[in-house]
Amino acid sequence: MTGAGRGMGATIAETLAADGWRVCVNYGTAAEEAAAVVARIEQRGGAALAIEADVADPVAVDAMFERAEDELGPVLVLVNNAGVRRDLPVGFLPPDDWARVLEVNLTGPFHTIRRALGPMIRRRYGRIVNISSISTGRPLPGQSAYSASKAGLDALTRTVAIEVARRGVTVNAIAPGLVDTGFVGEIEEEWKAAMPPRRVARPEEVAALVRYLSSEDAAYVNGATINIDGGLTAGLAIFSPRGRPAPVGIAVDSENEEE
Amino acid sequence: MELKTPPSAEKMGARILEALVEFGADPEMMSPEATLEDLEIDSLDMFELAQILHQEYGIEVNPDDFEDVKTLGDAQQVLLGYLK
Repeated sequence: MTGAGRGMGATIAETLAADGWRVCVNYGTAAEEAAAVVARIEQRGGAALAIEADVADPVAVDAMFERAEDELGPVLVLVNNAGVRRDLPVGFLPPDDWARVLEVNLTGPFHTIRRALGPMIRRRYGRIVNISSISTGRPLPGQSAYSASKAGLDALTRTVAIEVARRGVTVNAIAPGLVDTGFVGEIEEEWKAAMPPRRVARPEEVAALVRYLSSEDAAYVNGATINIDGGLTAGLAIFSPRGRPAPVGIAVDSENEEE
Repeated sequence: MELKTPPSAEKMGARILEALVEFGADPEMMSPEATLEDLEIDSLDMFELAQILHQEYGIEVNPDDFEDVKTLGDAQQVLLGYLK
């Protein structure tokens, strides 16, 4: 489980542990938080191990897998959650920042998937879940690197899914909308009001979908990107000048109002 | 290339055939002239075969070496070449 030190990743790690999975809690910088995740899992009788590794570094990824396999057992479920953002208008975005977002969010999952697939194929069982984003189809201004990286991740998901399907390995992606974690900062009330359910997702709701995709029951779900956004991308979002969604049937552009 | 337990060419050749049968190749069609296509062996099978050879013998298979491989005999020649 990459990027499992905090936020949604931590919740997913704890949810999988509650199901009996022995969890490798990978982190990049959140050492204390990752240790706390492991402690919480162990307190509940689960097994977990925190391992630092930059997923953009294939040598570090290989070392992480070696240690996880030695101490926890074969990796049968891989959740790629590690991600970074650098939101700036593309004209201001330094090339190094663009590259780093792509390296962590897209090349990182390539490294982990590449390392995980061999043993999964040999065992005729594997579940790979990539955490994508609804920003692939509906980005916000400034998200060029982030949305491009996640769109690439969706394409990687579909490609690997069809390559390995007949060996009992599934590869899927989850595209959350706004989730109540530290990743997007404090979520303003106006944003919550713009969501069809008038709230953002709880991390536990995303974790529940990861739990399903990791299970035997999801054997025929493959190559999918599943939105979990409260319906945000199901329709056309129309915002009033105050930032609130327009009531159904009422035009919000005053120039188009009929007398 | 580091070998875990260097196998004999006969042993590794037999292991390759065993793996291909496990992947679905018809044992009666196995001959050096049989094409991988005829045996219904594809790139995923070759990837898994590479995993087996790495796991059991420490052999690192380079996919570029298989560019001109068409038949089972070609494949065995490349794979057994790693023992030299």
